[in-house]
Amino acid sequence: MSQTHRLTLDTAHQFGGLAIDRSKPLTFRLNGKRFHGFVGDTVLSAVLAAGVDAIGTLNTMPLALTAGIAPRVSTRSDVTRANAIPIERVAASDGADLVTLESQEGLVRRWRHRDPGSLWLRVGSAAFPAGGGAAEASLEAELLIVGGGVAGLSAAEAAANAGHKVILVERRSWLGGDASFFGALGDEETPNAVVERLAEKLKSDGNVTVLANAEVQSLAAGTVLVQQVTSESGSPRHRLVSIGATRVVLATGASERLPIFAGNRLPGVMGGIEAWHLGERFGVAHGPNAIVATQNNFAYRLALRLNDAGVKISRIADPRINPQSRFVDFAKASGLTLASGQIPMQAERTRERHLRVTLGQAVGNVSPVVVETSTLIVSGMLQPALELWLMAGGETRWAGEKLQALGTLDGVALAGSVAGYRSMAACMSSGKAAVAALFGTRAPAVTEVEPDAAFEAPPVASPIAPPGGTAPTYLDWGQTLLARNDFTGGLGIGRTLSLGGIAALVELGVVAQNDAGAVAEERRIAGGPLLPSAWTPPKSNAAYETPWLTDRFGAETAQAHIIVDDKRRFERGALVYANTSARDPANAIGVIVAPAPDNGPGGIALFSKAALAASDRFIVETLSGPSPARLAPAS
Amino acid sequence: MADETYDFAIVGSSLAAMMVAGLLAQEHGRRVILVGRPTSGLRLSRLLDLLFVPATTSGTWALLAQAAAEIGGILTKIGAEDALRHVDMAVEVERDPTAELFDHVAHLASGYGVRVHRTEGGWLFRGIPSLDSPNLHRKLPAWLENSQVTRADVDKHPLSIGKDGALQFNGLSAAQAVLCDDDAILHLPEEVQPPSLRVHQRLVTLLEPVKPAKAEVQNWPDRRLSLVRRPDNQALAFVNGVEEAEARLASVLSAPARRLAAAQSRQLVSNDGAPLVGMLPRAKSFVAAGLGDIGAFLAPALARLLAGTARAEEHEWLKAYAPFRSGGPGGRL
Repeated sequence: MSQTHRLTLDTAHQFGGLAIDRSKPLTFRLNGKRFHGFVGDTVLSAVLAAGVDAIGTLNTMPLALTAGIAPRVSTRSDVTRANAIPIERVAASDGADLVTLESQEGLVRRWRHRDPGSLWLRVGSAAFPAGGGAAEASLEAELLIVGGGVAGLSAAEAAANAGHKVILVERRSWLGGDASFFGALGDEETPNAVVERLAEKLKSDGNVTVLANAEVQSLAAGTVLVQQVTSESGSPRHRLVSIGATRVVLATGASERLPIFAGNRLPGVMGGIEAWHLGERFGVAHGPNAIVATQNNFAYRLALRLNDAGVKISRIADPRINPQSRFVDFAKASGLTLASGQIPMQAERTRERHLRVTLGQAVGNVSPVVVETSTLIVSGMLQPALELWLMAGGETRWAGEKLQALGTLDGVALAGSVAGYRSMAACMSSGKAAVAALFGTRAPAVTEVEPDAAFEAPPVASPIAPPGGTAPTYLDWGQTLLARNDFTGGLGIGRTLSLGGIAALVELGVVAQNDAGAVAEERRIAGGPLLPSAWTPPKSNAAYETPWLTDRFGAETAQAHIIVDDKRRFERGALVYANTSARDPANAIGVIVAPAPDNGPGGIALFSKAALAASDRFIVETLSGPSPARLAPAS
Repeated sequence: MADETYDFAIVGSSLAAMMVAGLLAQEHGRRVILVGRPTSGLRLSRLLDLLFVPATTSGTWALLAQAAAEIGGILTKIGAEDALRHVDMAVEVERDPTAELFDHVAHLASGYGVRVHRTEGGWLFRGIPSLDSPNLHRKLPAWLENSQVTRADVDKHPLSIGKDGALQFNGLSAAQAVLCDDDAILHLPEEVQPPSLRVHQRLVTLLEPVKPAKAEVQNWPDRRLSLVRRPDNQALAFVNGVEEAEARLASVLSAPARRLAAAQSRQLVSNDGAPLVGMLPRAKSFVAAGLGDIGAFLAPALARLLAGTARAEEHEWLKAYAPFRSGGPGGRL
C-alpha cells in the first residue's frame, strides 16, 4: 500500500521523521497485504503511513489502530504465540512476511477492498498472551533504571559518574521518553539535544548498559525480568533477560489519558503525545486535516507543527476560556481557529471514513457545532505510569486529579513525571536525587522550573461529555477496552482495570476517591501467569484429636456397636436417635464414630451413658433415610 | 457531658457492619451512626459471604438455618433480592482428620435440611446461600440512608471510645460503640483486648481463565483455600495463610491462569477459630470479630442481640462465643 499519510520531508516543520532513513525504502507483507516504509519504521508506523487507521471491529464497531492496542505479529514461517510481538515494537524489515496472531486463529476476514483502511481483526478475542518462560540471559547491576526519558538518563549519568554499574531499560526502540512533546522552556537545551548528549555520554561509559526495546515483565525481590525485542535475519523475536539489582529507579513517565466522550476510540482519533511521536519520529500524520481537542498548552504546539507540515487544523477546542500561553499566541498568529470553552461531545464515523465531531460548550448552554475531519487529536491529563511501582508493592492514593505514589519502598525510587514532576529541569534533578537517595548520598534539590500561571495557563481536568452517542465511550487507551456502559449496571470486579481506567472511574463517580488507591493496588499486575503446581498437603499417620466429639453428648459417654442386619454398614457421622425421638439433630443421643470391628455390619456409635442405659433400640439417620438399629449381641 | 445523639455507633466497613447498622435503625428503631470507609464495588471481597462453616454443633447449624430463612426477607427490604443466590459447594478432603470432620459436618448439615451428597473426593453441599457482595455493596448505601443511618468516614476525623463504651467522633457521640471492624479492635489498648485474638492473613486473587467446574464453589480444607467461580471463566480464590500460598493455589489449577487482581487482608480470629461476640468487660465496647465468611448472614441476630431482643437460642449461642469465654463448647462451632 502506498504511503498516503507520510509527511514530506521539510526540516522547517521538524516532522520529517527522525527515526527513518528515506534513502532506504523497504517493503514487507502483513497478513498478505504489501506495505511500504523506510528503514527505521516500525511495522505500526509503516501501516499508519499507508492510511490504515483501524485495527478492526469490537462488537461490530470499528476501533482505532494505536500503539496501545497494536496487534501481535510473527513471521509466517515461525508462527507461535510465544514469538508474537506487538507491531509497535517490531522494526519494519525488507521482505518480511508477517501475520497477526489473530489470523492464526481464523479471526481475520478477507481484506475488504472498499475499506483498505482497516486490518479487519476482531478485537477482544485474542487469547491469553504468551508470557513466562526461562530467561535467556542474566545480568547484574548495582542499579537498574527503568525508563530512558530525561529523568532516567539523568539518573544513569549520576550513577555512572559515581562509579556504579548501571543497567537502563527502555520499552521503546528510542530514548527520550515524551519530553520532546513538551519542548524546552526559554533558552534551555531542547529535550532532543539533552537526550542526544546524555545518550552519547552513556554509550561511552563502560559501566552503563542500555537495553532498548526492553519491557519489564516482572519486578520482585531484587530480580527483574525484562522482555527485549530483537531481530534475527529480519524476523522479530523476543528474549527474556533476568536482571539482578538491589536498587531500582522507576522513571516510567506518565501516560496521556483519554478524554471521555462517545466515539473516543473510533479510527481517526489519536492521543496528542502519540500523534507527536508519529510525526516527529516517523514523519506520519493521521490524515490531511485535524481537530485538536486539548486541555493543556502543549497540544497547541503539536497543532502548529502539523499545520506547518501541511495538515489543515480545523480548530483547536479547549475547555479553558481564553487560556494564556505562548503556544496559544503562536496559534492565533498562524491563523488557526481556536474554540475556547469547547469539548468534544461525541464523534461518529461517516460513510467516507471521516469523523463527524460534535463540539459543545464545557459550561453553558450554547448550541453545539458539528465539524467533519479526518483526524481528531485528543490531549488529556497525564496519569503517572505507576504500574511497576504497584508491582513492586508500592501504594497509591488519589490526589490532584490523578493516582499518585504514596509512601516509600526499600530499594526503589521514583524519578521524573511518574513521581509527579512536570518540568524537564525537575525531572532531570529528580533522577539525580533518586540515585542519591538509593545510595545514601546527598540529594540535589528538585525544583520545578515553570512559567508563571499568569503567562501559561495550567491544564484542567480532562472533560467528561454527557452520556449518549452511538459509538462506545471508552475510559482509557490500551487493551482493557473498558467502556462507560460497562459500569452503569455495576459490572463489578471481573474486568481488567488500567490506571487510566481507574482514574476515569473516579471522575465518573464509580470509584470513591479515597478508594482509588486501594483499587489500583488490588489490580497491580503481580508477575507472570500462575502455573499449576504439584503441591499436596503433607500426610501423616499419627493419631489426631477429634474436638468435634468432645462434650458432644455430655461429659459421660460410652461407645457401643449397633447393627440393623448382617449387611448394612452405618456411615461415620450418621446421627443416632432414641427410638421415638423426632429427628431434630439437637435431640440426637449419639453419632456413628467408626466402622464396626473387622468392617462388619453396623457401626460403632458414641452415646451419652444415660441414653445408652435407657434403651437398646435406636434410629440411625443415614443419608438415604432413617434405619432402625439395635445393640449388637455381645460376641 | 455532651448530649448522646446516637444509641449505637457501628464501626466497620463490611457488609455485616452495614447490615447491623441498618437493621438496628430500621427494625429496632435505634439511632445509629455507621463509622467506616466508603468502598466501591470494584474492590475484591475479602470474604466468601457464604452461609457455610464446618460446624459440628447443633446450635450453630440451627443458627445457620435460621439465618438462611431470614436473609431473603432482609435483602428484599434492602432492595437487593438479586444479591442472594444458592450455590453448590464441593469439598475435597485429603487427610484423615479432615475426612472424619466432614463426615460429621455433612450428616449434621443434612439433619438441618441441607442437601448433601458423598463424592469421590469428599462431599457436595447443595443450595448454600451466597451473597453477591458487589451488588449488595452498591445497594446498601441507599437503604442506609432511607433507614436514617448517619454515615461517617473513619479516616476523616479521630475516633475515641471511652471506658464506658461511648464513642466520640467529630463532635458526634454514641452511647454504645460496636466494633465490627478488625482494625478498630486491634487499635484498642492491649489490656482490654480479648487474650485469644490472633491475626490471620488471607489472600484473595481474581484469576482467569479457570476451567468451569460442576460446583460453583470448591473448597480444599487441607490446602486451606476455596475457589468461587465467576462469569467469563474467572474465579475468585481465597487462600488462608501466607506460607506456600502461591504453591497451594497453583496446586488446584489445571492450566496457567492470569492474575487480574489480588488483595491481602488480615482478619481477626480467636485461638480456637470460633467467633468472638460480646462486650469487652474492661472497655464496655461490644465486639463482633472472627465471624468469617458468614458474618453478613448473622447481622439480624447481632442486631437483635444489641437491641436486647435476641431469641433464647441466639442468646445461648452468642454467649458461648463471648470474648472472654471460659466454658461452653470449647469454642467449637
